[in-house]
Amino acid sequence: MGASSLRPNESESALLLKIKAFFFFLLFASAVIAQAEESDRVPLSARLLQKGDRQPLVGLQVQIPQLFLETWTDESGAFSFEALPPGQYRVQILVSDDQIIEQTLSTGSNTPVLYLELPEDKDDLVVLGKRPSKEVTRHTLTTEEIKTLPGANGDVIQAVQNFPGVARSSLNSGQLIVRGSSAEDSSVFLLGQPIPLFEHFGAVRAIFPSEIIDSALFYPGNFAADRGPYMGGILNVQPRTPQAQFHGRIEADFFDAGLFLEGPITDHLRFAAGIRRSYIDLLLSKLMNEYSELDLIVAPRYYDYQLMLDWQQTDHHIKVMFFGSDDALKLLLNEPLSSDPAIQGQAQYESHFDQIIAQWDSALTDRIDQTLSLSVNRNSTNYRISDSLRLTLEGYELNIGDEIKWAMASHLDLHTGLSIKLEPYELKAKSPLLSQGITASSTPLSAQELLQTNRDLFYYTPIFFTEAELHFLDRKLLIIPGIRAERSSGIHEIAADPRLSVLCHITPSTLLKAAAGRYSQPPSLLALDPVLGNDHLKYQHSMHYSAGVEHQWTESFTSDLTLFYKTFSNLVASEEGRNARYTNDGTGNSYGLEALIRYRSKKLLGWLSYSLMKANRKDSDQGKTYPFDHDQTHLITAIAQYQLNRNWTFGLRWRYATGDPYTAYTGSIHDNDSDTWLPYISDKNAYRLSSYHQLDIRIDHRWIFDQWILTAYLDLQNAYNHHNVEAITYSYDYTDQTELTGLPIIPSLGIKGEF
Amino acid sequence: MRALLLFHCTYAMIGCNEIDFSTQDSLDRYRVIALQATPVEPTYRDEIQFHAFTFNPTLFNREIAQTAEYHWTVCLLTLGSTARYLCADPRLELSFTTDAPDLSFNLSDYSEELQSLYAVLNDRMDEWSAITGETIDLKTGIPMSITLKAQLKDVGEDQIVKGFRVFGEDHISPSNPVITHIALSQEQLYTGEVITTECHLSDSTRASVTEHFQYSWYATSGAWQYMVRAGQNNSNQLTLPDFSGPMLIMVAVRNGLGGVDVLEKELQILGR
Repeated sequence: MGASSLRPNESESALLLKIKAFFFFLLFASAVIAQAEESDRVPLSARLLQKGDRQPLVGLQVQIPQLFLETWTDESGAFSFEALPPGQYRVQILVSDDQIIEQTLSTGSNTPVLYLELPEDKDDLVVLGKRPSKEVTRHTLTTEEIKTLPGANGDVIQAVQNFPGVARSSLNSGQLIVRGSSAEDSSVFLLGQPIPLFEHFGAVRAIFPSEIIDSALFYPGNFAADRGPYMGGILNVQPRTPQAQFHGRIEADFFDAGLFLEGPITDHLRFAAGIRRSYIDLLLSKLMNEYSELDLIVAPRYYDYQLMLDWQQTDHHIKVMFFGSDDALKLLLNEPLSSDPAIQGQAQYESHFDQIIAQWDSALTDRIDQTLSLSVNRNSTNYRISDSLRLTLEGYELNIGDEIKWAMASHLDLHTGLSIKLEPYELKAKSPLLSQGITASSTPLSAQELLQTNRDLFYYTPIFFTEAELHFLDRKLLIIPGIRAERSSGIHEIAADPRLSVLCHITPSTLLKAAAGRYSQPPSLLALDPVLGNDHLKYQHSMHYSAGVEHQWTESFTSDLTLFYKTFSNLVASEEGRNARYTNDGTGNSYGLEALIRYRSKKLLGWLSYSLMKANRKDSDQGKTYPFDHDQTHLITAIAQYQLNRNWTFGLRWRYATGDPYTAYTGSIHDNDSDTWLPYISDKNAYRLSSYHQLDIRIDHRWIFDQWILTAYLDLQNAYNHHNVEAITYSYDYTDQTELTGLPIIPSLGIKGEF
Repeated sequence: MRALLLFHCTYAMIGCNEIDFSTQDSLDRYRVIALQATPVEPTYRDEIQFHAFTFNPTLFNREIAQTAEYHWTVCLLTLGSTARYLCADPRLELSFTTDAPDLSFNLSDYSEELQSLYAVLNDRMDEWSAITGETIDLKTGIPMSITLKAQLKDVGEDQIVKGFRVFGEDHISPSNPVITHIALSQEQLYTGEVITTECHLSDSTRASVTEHFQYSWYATSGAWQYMVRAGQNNSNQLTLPDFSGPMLIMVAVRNGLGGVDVLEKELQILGR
């Protein structure tokens, strides 16, 4: 073979070329096919929301097993697999360690929303947070507790009454009678500002629905210097930030119906709005008009509304709340009441207020925070019983304040504030001389001399407070000295109230606490009237002393024990049976022990509170000491609430309270000119009503649909129908008497739709 | 507000409780219905006459008729209704006993007591005004009261109090109303029927525009539609008892100025 034999021949070359061309073609074809396949690929995405309340399910793992792909849901609950071949895929969503939900999803540009029902957590413990409070006693209620506590009917005031130190009010009305102080001595704050009325008709139902509440903080005494001039307790209601998605609620029960909406307006601005109106008036007017002596023109009717705007950016947070309430009751007495013929004709009660509160929190530096606040309310009360008793009080209350919180050093925080309150009012009234005496209040209007007053008032009150938070022992010991001072132009004296609290964590789970302080409260506008009251009245004072221990036994089990002692001086009072004007001669004291044990897991809420209390009053130096009107020695509240599953919740509340003291009528004399009988009274509060006890049961059932939840509940009050004595009633001449019992077993049904 | 709430709650509670008390329109025991003063607002020189209108069940049943004993207490300076007509000083109390429901006394007979009272009042008027918000003099009238305790042996007792003011010499007193008669809607009265009654006053009394009349109706049996009526409502409806025989009705009229009059009428109820 020669050289030519070493070279491929032509046919071989052609074959090689063909093979190369073939592989090149294969490569090209593969690339083209691959390119074509790539361009056909589409995403697979979806958004996972909680079934019912449509809350985004954040951080869930999502897999496509056949492609070995996985991803996680983002803050909006969405997930996406990019560039999948078109088609249907079996997607697995890992909702817990041992539970997977499978869904078949199709690829495409749409993002379907899946509504999933997550399994109930096995770990049902709820960590009861460590208290950041600076007060000796602060009890907290969450929105969920307010909504579902048995016997509370979703009312924040009724829910707070379960705490130790709060006396049961007559007919279970919504009054705050705290540690031996009168209901007028306690107040409710919303966004840090006092509100003129917190219960419809002063006692029936809270003027704002539980939906707008984030939490309710209750201070039965020894509260900090920034919290107002009250001798009793304070309930500080914190409205919650509206949600980032649109949500709503429609609710109706025996008393009223309401609508609530919330959602975003822009990225930083959210809103919440609610409205509620009662309809018990429609029912009552039919029932009451069967009495021939009485026509209900407007049966008890109330409505309230709320609008909240919330704007938040890095260092600034502005909240604006506009809310109000309107109550009306009008009845016509066709004939004079035989027990008091002065009461005839139209009797009416109208109360209305609108309030706007704006609060601007800003971080001035990394150590200084500032809160500017403005509150304006317009309120009017119109109260009339025929021509005998009239009261019209209309006016404004304006509060402007600035507070600074300054972290001066690692162991020193300073909190100081300055505000001014302006109160222009118009008062028109016709009434007997105001008196707190039982003799006067039991005297029929027909037998009393009626006085008239017609005045324009303008009071202004500058207020200053400051307190230092001193941290020692690696922040285990906190000492808070503070002072609050104010001067009302209607009283002509300065009330300067020093306050001191000491809190010490002796172990990480045990807190010792003690406090002392003075609390000065101005008399009411009416009491300061020169005609009906006494315009020389001064501030009333109360000294609060308390000490106690809190212990966190487990993450969900806490106990709180507090001893308290209060003295009262300069109380507005009038000497019994002397037809005398108000004086500041009233004194008193109250003391006792409060214990609260709470257990809270996701399924079980347990609550046991006990108060042992004694409260006394004296109307003058020469007067006798007598028990306070709501001196209830023992108060016990036991609550158990169990969430069986997502759909069923059962709750029980049992309450016991020593009966209120009362003043008995021991006879009477017929007053000729008014044709009424004037009772003679026993020693003040010398008798006691029988003890109160009641069981309330609440059952909630929820139907959870994809995009909304329907809840029906039964609140069965006084389940074993105990005849609780609320008062004593007498015959016309006070020769016979009998006990008046409160409400019998009352089933209250409600229905609520949330989306 | 609290009074209205209390009123409403009490009404509601009474509605939920069964209460069976004797009512004030029921003449079921010995009672003093009203106390009349003439003149209604005396001057300090006047002789005042008091007359008590009573219901005596024993007189209605003449076979066991008894007469009562009347104990009167006049207070020359009273603290008023809210103090249950407590006398400002025990030395200013005068007591009388009569065997008829009438008392008359002349204020000028007690000029010494009144003189010392005025001296005390003048000295302490500032203090008094500060406490009660009221200035007392003969122009606005000195608040006095009279209390009557009437006792009917073995039957019962009742008491009534009347406040009145004593003025200066030139004061013109309002009058007591005068009831002329009680008219019935029908002459023959049968058991269980509903009849209308009307109380008629003398024209001269009704002419006064400042008077506000209040009619209180009473009966020994049967049931009134209203116990008390006011203004122009001088009529009432009575459901007659289910048994035949005599019964008594009474009406007391007050004029809102301290004046009062009472009239009674005997009815014969016939069986059907």
